[in-house]
Amino acid sequence: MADVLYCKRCGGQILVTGYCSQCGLKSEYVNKAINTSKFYYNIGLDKAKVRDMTGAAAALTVSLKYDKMNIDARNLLGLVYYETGKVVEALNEWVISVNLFDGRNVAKRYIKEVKANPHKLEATNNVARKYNQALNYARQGSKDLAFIQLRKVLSDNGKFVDGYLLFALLNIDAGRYDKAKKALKRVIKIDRTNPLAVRYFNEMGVPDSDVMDYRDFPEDDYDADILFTTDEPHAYVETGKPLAKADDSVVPVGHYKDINFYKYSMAYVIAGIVLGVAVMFFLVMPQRQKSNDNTSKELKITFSEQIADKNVKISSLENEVKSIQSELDQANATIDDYKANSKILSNEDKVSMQLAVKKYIDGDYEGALTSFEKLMETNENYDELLFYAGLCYEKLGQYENAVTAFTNLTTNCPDSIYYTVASTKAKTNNAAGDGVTDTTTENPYSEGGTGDGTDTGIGDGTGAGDGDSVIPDDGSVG
Amino acid sequence: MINFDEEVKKFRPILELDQAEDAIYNNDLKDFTDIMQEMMRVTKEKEE
Repeated sequence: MADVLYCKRCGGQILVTGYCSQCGLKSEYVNKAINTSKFYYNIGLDKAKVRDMTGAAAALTVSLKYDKMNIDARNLLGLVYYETGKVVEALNEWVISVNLFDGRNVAKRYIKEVKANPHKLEATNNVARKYNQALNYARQGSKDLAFIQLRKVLSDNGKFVDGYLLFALLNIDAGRYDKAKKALKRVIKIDRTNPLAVRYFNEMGVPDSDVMDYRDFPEDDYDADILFTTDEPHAYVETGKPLAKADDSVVPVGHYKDINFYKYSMAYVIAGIVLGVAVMFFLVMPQRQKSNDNTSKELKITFSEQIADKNVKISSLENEVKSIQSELDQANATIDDYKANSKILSNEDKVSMQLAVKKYIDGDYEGALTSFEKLMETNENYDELLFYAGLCYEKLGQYENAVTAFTNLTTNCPDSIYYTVASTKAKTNNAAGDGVTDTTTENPYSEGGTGDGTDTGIGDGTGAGDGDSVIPDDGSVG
Repeated sequence: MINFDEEVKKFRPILELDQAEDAIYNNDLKDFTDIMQEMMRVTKEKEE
């Protein structure tokens, strides 16, 4: 029994005619295509091993044209793209590879490693975007802008072959062959047989043998800064010879040192912080201090106004106190005057007064006068006291004193009920002092008088008769 | 001598991340056997 053969393309059974029962393709052609694909894969692998990236990519592409299911060839093509800086193209190949064969596929690991660092992936995308911008600028003739973009591109991706090639082309066009050669050397280092790099070298007069030597060019870690720093004056001599230095006697005017913004990013950050702090101290803080000063000034003004108001109130209250004090003093003075002119005796003086009047009634004029004089020391304007004192003086023949007492009464007590009698007696005593005896004073004060008992209202119990005679005739004193 | 304008035309833009999906979907994955199968289909159609 013959062995059953299966189609290597679709898995269908191979018929006796040699054709696949499913896809209809002749088995011989399918096998030939697969073998050819593997053949080109081996070529691509060999070229990749010697870093002939362009040749490898070409061979692997052909390999995939013969057999798209050649997973190894597709994965290797992705690696070649990745090595030459075309990360997105590499991802494309790997994603297709995983979709075609989901088994043990190394492309899964490649994709995982690329996606593991989102920042790096974003930086890679920026590289692609800036390279495309630089390419547009170069096509539009904006070479300076293209240089700026390429500087960023090569700083972020030191293995980006197309970036170096464009950079070299721009430098060749600008006559900066040293820089172009440096860039191309790096291309050769990454992709040893890059045809464009070799051609540019040849155009600048560098023979293939020298280009071959650049393959072993010392590793200088692909620092893009070097490309933007030194620019020695070289002359391009179109004689097929290598580039020769220009006249050594010509002293370079100076060279332009490019600034790597990425390298000094930390310095920029620190400078920014320092600048921010300086702005804070010199702009923000004074403004805030000024605002605080204004606030304190407003508070001072407010408090000053309040203090002034309070002072005004205090002074007005002090004036009011002084006014009240003066009124009080006046009131006290009035009270004192009233007391001095008061016709009201204290209880003790009332008793003394009654006793003195009793003495007068009993005829003890001297004793009565002594009591009256004693009372007069504290009650000098008491009308009844002056009246009785005057009577006593009169009885004792001391007319001048009697006149004085009656005169004091009429002067100080014009409203007294004794006023009329006192004024009369003052005159009579005055006349008596001059030798005339007033008959009315002979016995002005007789017991059992016929007074009508009308109370004088003085409160001393002394009765006073009607008419001109106010001498108590009933002896009712107190 | 290198002609800058001519040379720069040879450079092609590279793919950006947001273009990757379209690039994958639009990728021409036809290989040798696909072309053969297509040729056979066309021939068969003509015969019919």
